Amino acid sequence: MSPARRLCALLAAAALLAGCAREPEARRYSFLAMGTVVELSLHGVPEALAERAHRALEADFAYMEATWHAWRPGALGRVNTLLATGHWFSAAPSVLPLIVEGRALARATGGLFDPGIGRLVALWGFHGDDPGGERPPPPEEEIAKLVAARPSILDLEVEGIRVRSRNPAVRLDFGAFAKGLAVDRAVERLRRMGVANALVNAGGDLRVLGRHGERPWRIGIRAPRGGGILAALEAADGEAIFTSGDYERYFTWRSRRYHHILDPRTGRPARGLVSVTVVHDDGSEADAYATALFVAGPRGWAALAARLGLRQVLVVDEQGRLHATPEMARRLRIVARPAPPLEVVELPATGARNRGEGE
Amino acid sequence: MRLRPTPADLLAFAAAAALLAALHLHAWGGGGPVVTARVETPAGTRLLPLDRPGTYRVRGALGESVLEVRDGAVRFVDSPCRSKICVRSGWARGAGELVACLPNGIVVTLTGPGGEYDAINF
Amino acid sequence: MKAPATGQAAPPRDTPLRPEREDVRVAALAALAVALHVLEAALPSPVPGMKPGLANVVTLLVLVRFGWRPAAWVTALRVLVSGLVLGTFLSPTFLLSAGGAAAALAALALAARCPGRGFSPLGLGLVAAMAHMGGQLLVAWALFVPHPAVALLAAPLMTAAAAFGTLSGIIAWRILAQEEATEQA
Repeated sequence: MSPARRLCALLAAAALLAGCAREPEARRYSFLAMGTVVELSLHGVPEALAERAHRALEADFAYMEATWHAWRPGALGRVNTLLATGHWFSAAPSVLPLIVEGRALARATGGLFDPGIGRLVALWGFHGDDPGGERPPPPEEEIAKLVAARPSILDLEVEGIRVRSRNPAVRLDFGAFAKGLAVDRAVERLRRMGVANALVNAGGDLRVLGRHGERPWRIGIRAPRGGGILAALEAADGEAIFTSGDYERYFTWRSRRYHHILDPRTGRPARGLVSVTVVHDDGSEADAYATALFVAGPRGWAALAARLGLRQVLVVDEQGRLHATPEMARRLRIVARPAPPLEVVELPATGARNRGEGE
Repeated sequence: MRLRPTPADLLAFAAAAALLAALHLHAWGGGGPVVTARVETPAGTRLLPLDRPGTYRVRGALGESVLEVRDGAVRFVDSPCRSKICVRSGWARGAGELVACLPNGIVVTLTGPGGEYDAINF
Repeated sequence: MKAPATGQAAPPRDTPLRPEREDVRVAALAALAVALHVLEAALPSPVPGMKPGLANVVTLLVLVRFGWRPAAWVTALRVLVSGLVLGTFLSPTFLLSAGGAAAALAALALAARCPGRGFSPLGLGLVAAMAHMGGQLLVAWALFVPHPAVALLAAPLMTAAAAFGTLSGIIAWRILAQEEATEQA
């Protein structure tokens, strides 16, 4: 065989092999929980274990949904009723960790993420399953009244299992980080069950374990204004990818969009950004921080990300332009066409991350 | 100069014929297993192969949702929910993608070979 | 690449005046190619992207008679000048055209290296046209619409490319045969 012929034969063989050698697919399950679709993908897991894992997660999510629901009777619903009294009471052990974690996150984000604004969420009508459509925003004076009361989860006093609120306006709504916490717990549960390779996706917010066989898990980030996938990245073991966007829950009134990410300082939907995506090694932090960065807005997000110790952030602004931290830009593959402009934003230098200082 | 195809010519024509045959097979269906939309409704599950364009009506908790299948992709055209997040989500194309109308209890997952992504973040 | 068909046509390389002559030749052939390209752009087309590609005949002729390098020059000039003349310079149309031309030239460079008797103008025409269309589709996919419809369009477009490529191969062969006859007369 001449070298040229040999090369041809080699190329042909390679093409054939590439066509045939397809990796086994992951097992996939999906169920409805916490007002969204939860997807579980398992790779290289025997069927019996996979079925068991699926059932366990479905039960866990149902439990978390029931206990953490802010506006239905349940453990958190009871806490919210008792907070209004201003008296000490003992919180259910299922809710207490959320309060402790929520306080730490609120402190770390300077109050831009604050689960204490449950009454604002309710006032804006974002606590139903179908908050959208065409309807007027709440009256100005009612927003102003609630903002003036300055409700914050940091107004709570926690002693052991006993809790009370110094501020009667505080109502807890963990919507902005319950999904993160739930995904963290799901991943932890899978790990304990002996599952090495898994992906848990709770309505677009996800965390991975291990790999998809020979390759890492491949994640597509959806374009916030429709039109398919914006960018792709490969998730490493243990990474959480969370996005907060103005398109998840919103209603419109006189062709203006009112979305669910409320700025605790103004009592209104935060303006300036369309979505914030955070890649981080912790789901609940990723969830809360994505919300906080969104509230911080176009001028504030980078400084806050630096302060929170986040290194991988992607931001889409109202003009459709992308802004990414250097580490994020490096691993991101923009797949939308025409490719939107991408600005790489160096994070300002700052001291060490200050999450979880004293509680 | 006589028009006598050389062996290399014949090889090129054979390769071109094979390539064209493969392209046409792929284009006119029969190109292996296709991606299927699994439509879960409160009443049960229904499968829609994405190589069959059309408009499909499925009954949900609130009423009828309308799905459109075209060019190997599926989307919600209408749904009785207020938010219409499902309609605004646009097309779902590759295996692993998902569109849903939660108020109406309808979840559409794409299953099948390949698929570029294991999960979609939004 | 095999030797030029006749000794007379081989460009002598030792005299200082000859390169200029080659430049003139490249320019003249490129002008011909541009004319064909512009003419074709004015023709209506049933499917976007489906064109006979008559300008490719010029590339084939230059390749067979003078080698790959002048052929590449003629093609590059043709794409550039046609883009300027048609006002499509740096537009999507131009990028498609450039991508196709680059792919065709790359394929021809490989084909010219083929061992044995090599390709006749017929095979070269086919290879060039298929590579041209393949390159265009890839550019379209990468730059404009990563949509499965492009993959579906690929079937008819590639078929047309094969047909037109063979046709341009035949035309190139007829011209070469005629030239040969004239030269021998």
